[in-house]
Amino acid sequence: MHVSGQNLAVTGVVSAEDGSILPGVSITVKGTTRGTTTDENGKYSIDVPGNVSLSFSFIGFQTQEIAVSGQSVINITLKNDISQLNEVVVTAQGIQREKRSLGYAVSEIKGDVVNKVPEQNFVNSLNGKVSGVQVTSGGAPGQAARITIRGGAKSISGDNQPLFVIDGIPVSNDNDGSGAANEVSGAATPNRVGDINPNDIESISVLKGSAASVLYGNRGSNGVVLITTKSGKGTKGKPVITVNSNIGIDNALRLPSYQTKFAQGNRGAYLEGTSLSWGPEITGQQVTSAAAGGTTNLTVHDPRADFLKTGVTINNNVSISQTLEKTTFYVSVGQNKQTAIVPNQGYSKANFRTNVTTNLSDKITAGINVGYTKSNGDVPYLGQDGNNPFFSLFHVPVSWDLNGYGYQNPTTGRQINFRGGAFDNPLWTVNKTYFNTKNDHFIGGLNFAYTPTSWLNFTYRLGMDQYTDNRQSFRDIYTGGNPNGYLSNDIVSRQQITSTFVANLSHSFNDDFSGTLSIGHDYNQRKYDRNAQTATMLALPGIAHMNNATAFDPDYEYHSKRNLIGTFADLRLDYRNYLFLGVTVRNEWSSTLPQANRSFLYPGVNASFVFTEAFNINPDVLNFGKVRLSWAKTARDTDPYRLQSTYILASATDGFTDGVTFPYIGLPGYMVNSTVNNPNLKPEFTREVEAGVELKFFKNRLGVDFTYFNNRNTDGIISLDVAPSTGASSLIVNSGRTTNKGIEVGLDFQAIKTKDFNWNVGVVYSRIRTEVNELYGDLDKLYLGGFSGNPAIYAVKGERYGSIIGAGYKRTNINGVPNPNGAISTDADGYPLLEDGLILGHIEPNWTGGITNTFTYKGIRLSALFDTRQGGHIFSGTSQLLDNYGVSDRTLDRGTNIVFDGVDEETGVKNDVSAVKDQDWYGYVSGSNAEAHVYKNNWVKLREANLSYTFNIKRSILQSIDLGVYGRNLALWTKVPDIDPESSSFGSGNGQGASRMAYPSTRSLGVNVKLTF
Amino acid sequence: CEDSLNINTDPNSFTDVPLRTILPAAQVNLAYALGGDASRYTGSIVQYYGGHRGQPLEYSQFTFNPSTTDTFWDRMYTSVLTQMKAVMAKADENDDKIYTGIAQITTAQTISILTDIFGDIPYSEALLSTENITPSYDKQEAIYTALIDLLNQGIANVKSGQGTKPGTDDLVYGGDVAKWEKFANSLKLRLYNHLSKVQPNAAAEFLATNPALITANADNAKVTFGANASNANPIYQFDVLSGRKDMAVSSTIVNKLKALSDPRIPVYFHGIANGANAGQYVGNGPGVNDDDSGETKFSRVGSFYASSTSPVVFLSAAEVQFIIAEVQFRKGDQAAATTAYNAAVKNDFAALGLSAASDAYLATTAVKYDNTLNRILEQKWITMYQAPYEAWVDWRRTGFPQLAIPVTNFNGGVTPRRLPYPQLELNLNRQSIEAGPGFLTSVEAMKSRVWWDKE
Repeated sequence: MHVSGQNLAVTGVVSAEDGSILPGVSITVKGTTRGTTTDENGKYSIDVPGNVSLSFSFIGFQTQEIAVSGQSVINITLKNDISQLNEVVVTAQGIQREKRSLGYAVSEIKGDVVNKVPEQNFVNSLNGKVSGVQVTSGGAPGQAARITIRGGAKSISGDNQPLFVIDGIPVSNDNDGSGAANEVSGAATPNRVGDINPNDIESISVLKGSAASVLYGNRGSNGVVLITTKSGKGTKGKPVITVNSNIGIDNALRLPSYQTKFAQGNRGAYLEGTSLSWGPEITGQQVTSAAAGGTTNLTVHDPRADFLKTGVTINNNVSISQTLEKTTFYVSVGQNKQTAIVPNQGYSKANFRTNVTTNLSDKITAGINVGYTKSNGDVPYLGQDGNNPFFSLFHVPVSWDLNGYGYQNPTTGRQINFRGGAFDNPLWTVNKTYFNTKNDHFIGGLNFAYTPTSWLNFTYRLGMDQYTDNRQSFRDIYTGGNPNGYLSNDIVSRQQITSTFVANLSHSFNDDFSGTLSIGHDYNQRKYDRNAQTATMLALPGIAHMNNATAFDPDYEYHSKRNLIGTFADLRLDYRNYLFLGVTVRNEWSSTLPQANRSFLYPGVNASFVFTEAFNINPDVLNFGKVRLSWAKTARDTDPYRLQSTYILASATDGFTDGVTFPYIGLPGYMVNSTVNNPNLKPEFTREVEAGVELKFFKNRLGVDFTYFNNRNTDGIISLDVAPSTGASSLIVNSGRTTNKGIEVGLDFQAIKTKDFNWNVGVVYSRIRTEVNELYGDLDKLYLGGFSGNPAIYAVKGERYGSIIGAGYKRTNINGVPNPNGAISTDADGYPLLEDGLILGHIEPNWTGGITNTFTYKGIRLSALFDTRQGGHIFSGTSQLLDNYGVSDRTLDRGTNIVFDGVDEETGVKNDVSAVKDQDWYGYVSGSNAEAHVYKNNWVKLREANLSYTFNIKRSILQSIDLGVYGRNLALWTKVPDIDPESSSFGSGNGQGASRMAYPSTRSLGVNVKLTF
Repeated sequence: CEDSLNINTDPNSFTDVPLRTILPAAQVNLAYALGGDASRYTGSIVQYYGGHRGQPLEYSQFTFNPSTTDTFWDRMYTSVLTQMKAVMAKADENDDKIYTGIAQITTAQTISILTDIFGDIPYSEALLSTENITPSYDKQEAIYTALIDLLNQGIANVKSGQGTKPGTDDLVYGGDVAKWEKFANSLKLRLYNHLSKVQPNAAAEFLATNPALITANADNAKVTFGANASNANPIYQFDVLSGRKDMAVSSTIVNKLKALSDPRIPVYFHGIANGANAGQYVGNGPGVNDDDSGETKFSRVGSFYASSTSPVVFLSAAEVQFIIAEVQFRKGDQAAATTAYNAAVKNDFAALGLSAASDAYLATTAVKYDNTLNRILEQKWITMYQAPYEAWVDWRRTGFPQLAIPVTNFNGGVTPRRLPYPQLELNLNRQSIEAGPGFLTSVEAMKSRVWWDKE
């Protein structure tokens, strides 16, 4: 019937293997440019010039060719393309690799997964989504989040947080804490990568192991978080405009449990001015009250409810992106404003971003990425700090009428406070004191790529990360800890410049065998500057200006600078696209190490074998299988200025007061630094072995990714605390050895997959063991952080990293050796005896995991993330203090008798002396005893949930509307009392696992609207 | 490339500084530690101070945990002794012997106070930094011998007059070598007198050599603090600037001074600040948990010792005379004891600006010397409000004055005779403690005695 030279009309329907129709499949006449696509019903129609072949191609499916052979109807089913697993991921130094070729684990998360539930600081969104990644954060707006990868214990006392790289530019994640990183004080300053607008994030690659991050050397040895911002690629033709807004409310997830029976007071008597609630039972009796201005009848109030409010978060984003003929761009503006659950505090930021990539010629591409964030926050003080509003709020007696009594005497101007001392009335804290941070953060990069021939390519990138944080801390006259007032202006700035040049060569030796080689050089400079001026006495109340100061501390000035130069090579060999071998090597020169030790070389090798492709394995069952193996060595340098011992500005302190700072009545004074530096420092090293397997079953319905790693960390640079009788307080030494091993499992399961309804389950799990093998000589423990006194967090030789050490019950001895399971010794009064320096637990979890369930039905999408932590311990200093103060509900049993389950130390017989559970009991057994408040840190959280619906509108200008409701931290299940066990009172240092009057974490609920034009 | 890596010189501190900038740093640290922590611990034990809340209350209830003394011990070793060692090393380079002598005398003073508080302490192996990170604990008996020797060397060095002369950088004496000699001799006298139970004749024998001693208030060893908050006196910083308000004075000393109608009351104590009893002088009972953060109940340390610019007295003419009085009493020379006793009280009154009242005071029956050791030590106790750690030594040696047992205490009602070693040493140098004095719990440690405190 056909006639050569005549056109023939061919029609048909294209569907997928599961029977669903496929719109948008591209059909071309082989050998010509003629073609069409299927419509929304999967139908097509094309005129062909006789006996030709048609090629059907669609992303995610195998391309098929069909000879027309005179047929006028060709219905075709496209097969899933298992080679879609050839996804390309961004690896170290921005080198893009096929994921299948990597011999190490890389986790990639898409921006929309990160943003499913809006979060001001995207680091918090990584919780429970990536195996091996742990995030700890507080509840205050702007408060820093600490992130660690694979246990984060490669360095015993150095920084263990990963390197953050944004569009190829390494950036600072410092939070420049106002208190020491390992102590429980200071303001809740943000970690600076939190400045990034989460809406700008296209994807995040987490390089967990040394093999993945070896090319970043030094800075990447704790893992690397690579962030790629949106580019406008893939939005061919019309500009795409999105408008995304959400509004949410925040409340405290968990508050301590209180007794509501007993009034403020001491030993049963009503007394104001005390932190204690050991007063009389509240029965409406009349008492003399200075706060009430005479007499008052005692009633039960709810000071927590009187003080706390609902926080509100508003987030607006507009972006426009487009791909033009030679240029793609993405421009966005975002605004985020969050008010805290305490009055007058909050955090807001404005984000601007411009990303442009353009082809200057066929061979040259140039790009620019510029991000700018302006933020402004009134943030709280944390922990053991008189200006932490929660410290005092948590123990306001229930007999105290917080709002009724007010916080300032209108006549004298003095503070009205339920207690005295350095801890203020919480209303005074939020009305008369503040810590304000104003930050300008600029991250910018220029990049060029030159491709002279198909096998050669050069890239160059120049990046800068720069911020200046203007902080002002003000405490009005009559503030507890600063009765004369206090004002400080503190300017912190950091600048990081990175220049990276990479040459990429690729070559195919024959059909089976090919290779690529990348050779590069980078230069990194980091500068840190800080200037602070502090007034210690103010003339007039309420004026926060240095012109209002009548006395000053000497000005503070600090500068540091460090340079790092690196050269690196990355060779990759590819055999038949299923066997891959990678070899990496890097040499580095650091300015922070002595000349003799400043150059160091380290290698890495990794291999990947896609065995499903090498062997004939039934693809219906196991459609993809890969094993990988890697080994790498990485090194870390040290902080600047740790080589030479110096004289520092003299000061004298006693731990209770600000003390003396020189100059002293006009005289200069300097002291031998009690930290003894070390002119012979070497870099610290990590050797890591990693093995893994990736499997995809049943046509990708089930995916499993399993990793085992084991790293050995040697020559740890530690600041070794030494007995003061040595004349020094710490020595900088190269010592310490830790091992760190674990498994990480990722699971992706499409439980139900139909045309309309899908149920997807994602699971992450990790189990990590970090052991301290050696510290320094005979030394058995090293201080990591803690409270002044009891307990503290130590690295203990032979134990898991991070032990809680403090006072606990004294137990009977067996042949002179204390028996941890023995009976508790009691004294003649029936009180348990206490002993100091006991190991009360470890802070490392046994395992952590997360499970995400996602249901989609047509345009409706419901997803929920639960995550959990099991094992390890936490010290709740909150519970300890609340017991001691007599405000916790546990102290309702006051006055009852207890025969403590113990053995009399003198007589050796079972204790039968009855003691009264009174103020002294709680003060001693609870207040001096850390063991009573060390809990198993097990919890489950409903971390995120969201429900959204997408209206596809298509025909009008408006393409789609997404409407959603979301929640974060919706529920918590734990046996730890009073606190969210995730809350740490420490900053970003390595001492974690203790919480004391920490800012409560918050539960958020909100609605989200996204318009796409 | 090399240039961009040779940038690791710390711009924030100095590789070398002159002697005159280290000496005052160490002297201020010593004065701050003695006027602050040392006085709060020991002043609470001998009932000058009666804190009503927090740590000050704990001290007066005899709750001294190992961690209590961490900062004090650390500062004494790292901020005083290490600095004095640096002064000696630097002074040696140019034969600046006056500086060497001052550093030796100050080292002896510092070590003596540490050993009196803690007993056996690291001395011969101390301060070696990286060379010995677990210094052993020397016996107090050996330390005392070494300190006398060190003071003799110090005296010889300051008297030599050799090398650079200290000026205003010497906050104690402005470089006056004669006064340093008197201070060193007075320290020797104080140390010999500490040995009254173990070497009863030592002080008298030393006194018989007619050493040059501090005999006038102008020679008193002290550091005077400044008006600016960052230069302020440690008691003022703790009681006022910190805003803690948890310290108060003890009823034991307030009531004693009231009973004696002592003119020192208004300079020793601040009247109650607020409330119905404002202006009255009331002390908190020993160990009484009676919160007074409203400052309506108790007096605080007064203007002479607790203003921003108040001095911290190391050793005074009054103390020297009290020691002489005690030595003469032991010799049985009551006339000489009377002379010294009267001179002691007069010197103290003069130092406090109360000269006019001293004769009348000395004439009262309750004050007039009555040929008893009790009388000498009662008046000495009142004077040693300026250096409470010495009053504690006196109480341990003589049992005077009689102290009340705190209503609440965690030490079985036993007044401490020694403080427990700090947690830092227990954590970081435990083997040396175990090999030397032996490890004791805090309660056991407080009940145990130092070498010169023979039963």
